[in-house]
Amino acid sequence: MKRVLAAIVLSAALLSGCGKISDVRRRLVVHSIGIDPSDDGGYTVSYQVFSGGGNSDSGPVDASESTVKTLVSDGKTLAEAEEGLRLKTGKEVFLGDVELIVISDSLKDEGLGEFLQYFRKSDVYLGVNAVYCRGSASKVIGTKLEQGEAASILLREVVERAVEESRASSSRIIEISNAVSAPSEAIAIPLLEVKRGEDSGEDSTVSNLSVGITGGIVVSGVRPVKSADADACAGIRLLRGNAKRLSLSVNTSSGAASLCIDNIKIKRKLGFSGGSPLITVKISGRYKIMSAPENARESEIVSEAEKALLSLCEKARRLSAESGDDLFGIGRMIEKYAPSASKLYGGDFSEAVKSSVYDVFARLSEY
Amino acid sequence: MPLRKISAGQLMLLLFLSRIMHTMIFRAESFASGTPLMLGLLVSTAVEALLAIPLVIYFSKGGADPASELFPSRPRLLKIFYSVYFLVIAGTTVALFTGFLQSEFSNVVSPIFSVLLIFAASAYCASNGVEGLGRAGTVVFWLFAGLFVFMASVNEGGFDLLNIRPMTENDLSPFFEYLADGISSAWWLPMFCALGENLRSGAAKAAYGYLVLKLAVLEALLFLVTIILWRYVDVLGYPIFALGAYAKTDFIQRFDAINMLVWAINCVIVVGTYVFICTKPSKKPKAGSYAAAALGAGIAFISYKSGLRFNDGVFLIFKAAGVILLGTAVPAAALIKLGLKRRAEK
Repeated sequence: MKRVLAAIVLSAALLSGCGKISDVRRRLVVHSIGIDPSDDGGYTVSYQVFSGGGNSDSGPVDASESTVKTLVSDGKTLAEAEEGLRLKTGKEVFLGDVELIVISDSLKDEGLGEFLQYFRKSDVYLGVNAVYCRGSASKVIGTKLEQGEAASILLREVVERAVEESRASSSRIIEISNAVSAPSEAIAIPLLEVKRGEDSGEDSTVSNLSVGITGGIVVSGVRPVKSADADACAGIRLLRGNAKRLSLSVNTSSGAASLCIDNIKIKRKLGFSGGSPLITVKISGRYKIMSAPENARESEIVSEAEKALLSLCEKARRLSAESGDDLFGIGRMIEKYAPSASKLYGGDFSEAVKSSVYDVFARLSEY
Repeated sequence: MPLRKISAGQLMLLLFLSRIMHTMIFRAESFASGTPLMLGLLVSTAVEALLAIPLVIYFSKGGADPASELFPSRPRLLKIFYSVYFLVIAGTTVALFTGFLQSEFSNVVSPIFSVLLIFAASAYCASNGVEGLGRAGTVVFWLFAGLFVFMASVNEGGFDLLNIRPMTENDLSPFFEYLADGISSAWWLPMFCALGENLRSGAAKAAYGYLVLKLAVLEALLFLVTIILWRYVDVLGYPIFALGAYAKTDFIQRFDAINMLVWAINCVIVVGTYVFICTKPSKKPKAGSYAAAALGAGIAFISYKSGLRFNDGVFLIFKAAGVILLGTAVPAAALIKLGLKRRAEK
């Protein structure tokens, strides 16, 4: 009796799951989702899916045309589009394996409220990045970047690399959701671009595609408000205090030089000057010169790099101060370090953001 | 038949599992800031430490079952009060756990089936006696501890210490709410009282060990949830479940299934302990455990259908009354009577 009971309890480990019970052949495993506006005012949703049927031999899975497909479904809402996909394919749509969500910048005016609500309730992992793209999200999702790799994985890596390099803000569903739920707090969602260059002719070894994060779209209170270029996005990471690594190119009297700044440490301090918040930001990091003209002086390169860091911060500051969008968590800093002053703002920190003064110091040392 | 006994460590872990089960199924109405919750927990633990004094002294002085001490001729009368109290606690726990299953997982079995299954398993555990529950509790505790540490260490979120803010006037209302909930959820006091006769020795070790363990684990949980998930806990609802929702490794993409396994086993052990307490007035413990489980299942089903929650006004008073009367007043009265008896003997 005890052994039978033990077997039943242990089987719970193998039989339990986090979704609907369905045979793997009856599942439609979605890798990425692209959202575009449709002509009737709804959404055209593209799903890059794994299609195991095309792989006849028992070798490793090749995410080529036969195994990775992009399916499109229309709906007035995202849930309706998902239901349409289920009815079209006759399979259970599984979103637990989604790597990336791409939203067309044509949907900027729509806001993110409905998308966030849908993704919160779906199986999509809350750590998945959601990004905007220039033009059609369907085309981005369906891009074939490299033989043997699904576009979703490569696109996700493009986004993650940009975040690692401090050229974009991390825009996971949880981070977007947290940022937009705070009064006056904002987030710069990365903007992904896929550009097609000149045709490389018959040479299949030359790719004419370039993919990258070229900037961001600032979202405040679920509504996109403005665009930010790549420099401003890097500045946001610096002023927010979460930049870790950054590559810079600077001009010196002898020519252009490139350097990589690693191990970035940022200390932020809140004070008040004439009734306005004074944010002191101290940036330190270790540099490594990657390329430089032969006769360039190292001290000059470093000095220019430090100036470049200040310039990135200034761009981000201007972007934030124009409309009072709190891209740096100033409201939360005031609530934490100056609770008595936070009462004056009554929960809306846009005025504090507009009037904030920044004192930024950058000091780099050799790697 | 001699009374079966468990060690102080085993009792401490059973009390802890019961408390952590409550945290697991506790769905915050709003979770804007972690500070009031963390302070509420700290203050409620201090109050619990004070409320536990009569109980700890009574059992440390070698007191037997308080019901037998107070009413030597009719101890069953008081034991029935404990049974009724823990039947309601067991029923509501299972109802809330069923609600959690239904809200977080699609296509799970029907609510009535999960209620019956949990109570059937719990009745079986209770019928095996307190020693079996104690041993199983230790295993479940280590399962929980391993899972908790693992989920926290592989969490993908960054730590944002800006989310830990000082208390302001606006936080006073949630602070008192959490404080009231913390004190009224201290049914470990009547639980300890009911299980005290089964304790081999070390009442102080079991009671205060439990309080330290509870405080450390829950404060760590609240701290992690606040600095990693912040407002998103409000979206997910269940704090412990939320911690697992943002954890990921190369070989475990989702922790939901593992989480569910541990919580399902924990629910069975905890409800099994409640059912065991309910069988105390019964002369036939085995049959009594199945009868108590049947009654508990009925309460669970009514509670589930009516949507009764732990934080609802009437239930809050019921829980708190149990804590004060059965967890503090009864052992205090038993302690006074024991003292008077021993003085008379001298």
